[in-house]
Amino acid sequence: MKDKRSESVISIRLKGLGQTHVFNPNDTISGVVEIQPNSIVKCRAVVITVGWHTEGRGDRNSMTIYEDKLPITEIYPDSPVIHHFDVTLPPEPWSYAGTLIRVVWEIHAKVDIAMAKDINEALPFVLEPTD
Amino acid sequence: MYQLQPYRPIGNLFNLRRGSKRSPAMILSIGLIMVMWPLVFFFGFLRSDGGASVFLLFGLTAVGTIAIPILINFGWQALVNTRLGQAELRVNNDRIYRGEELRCEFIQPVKGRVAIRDATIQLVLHEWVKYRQGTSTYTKTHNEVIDEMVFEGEQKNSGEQIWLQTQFRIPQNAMHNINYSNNRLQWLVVVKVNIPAFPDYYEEFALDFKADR
Repeated sequence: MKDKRSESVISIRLKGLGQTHVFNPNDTISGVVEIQPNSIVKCRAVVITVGWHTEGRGDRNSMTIYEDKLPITEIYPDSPVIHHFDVTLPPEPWSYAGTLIRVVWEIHAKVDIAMAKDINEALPFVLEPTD
Repeated sequence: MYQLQPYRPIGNLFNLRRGSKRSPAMILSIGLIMVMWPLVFFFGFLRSDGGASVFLLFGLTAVGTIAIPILINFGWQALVNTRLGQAELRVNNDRIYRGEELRCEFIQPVKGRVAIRDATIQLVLHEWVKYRQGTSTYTKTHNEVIDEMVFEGEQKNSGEQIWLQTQFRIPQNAMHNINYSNNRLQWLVVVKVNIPAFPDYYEEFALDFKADR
């Protein structure tokens, strides 16, 4: 379920793309994660990851190809966290939507809060050859 | 032309399916072991004074659930082998990719007179998943038939061969094979030869589809 708090707190934007969010294998995916809370948030860290996971009937397989753990302990409304990332995508697996299996790629941002529910936001994208 | 190998996924090494061809020696060996095992219980039954029914129960259960299906499968394959020889599937390329053409040639010697009702060659994307439910682990499969060619029946005599030829186009949006612990995708060529009043021939051949060309 989508965390309602994250709608106003975390935004993930990709550079130079419209709404399609389709990348070729070995492309570089560039973007920015912006975290602007409505009030002060005390946290243990902000974690930004890029990776894939499976969905569907089977148990989950997953892999993270990029992880950046920012040592941030407080985020202020008037001083948002802005983090740029550039990640070179691997040749596989391509995105897939079948009957029993789906392969989903996404950029994920998490505000890790001690003793409380984390704030999460994810932006899915497609990895497949287009040429 | 390249010769494809039959698909032997882990977890179904014996491929206990109607009409498939496996090493008869291997299947017979396992069948015999499964028959010998309950004999241990049977002799326990003869030697024991108390609790004899437990020995017999376990022994008969082992025979009924494991050994008999294996031996039936062995007999089934032996029956197929009396009429049909070792099949070969040849393809123009042992690695496939999006948009490419795949030419298939199926050849199977005939040992005795057979009347073939029909035969089918399919291009299939096979999905396999494993999942846990409670303390048990289950697997589930789905075969997505991408394309198929059905051949009309014909009479074949000893010394002749079944020869089928077709070609497929790999879809432009096709996914490559994946092989993860809980999720697998495998491209296959599936051949079925339907012989009335006789076990069908059924075999799956694995295609190599990698993400990088």
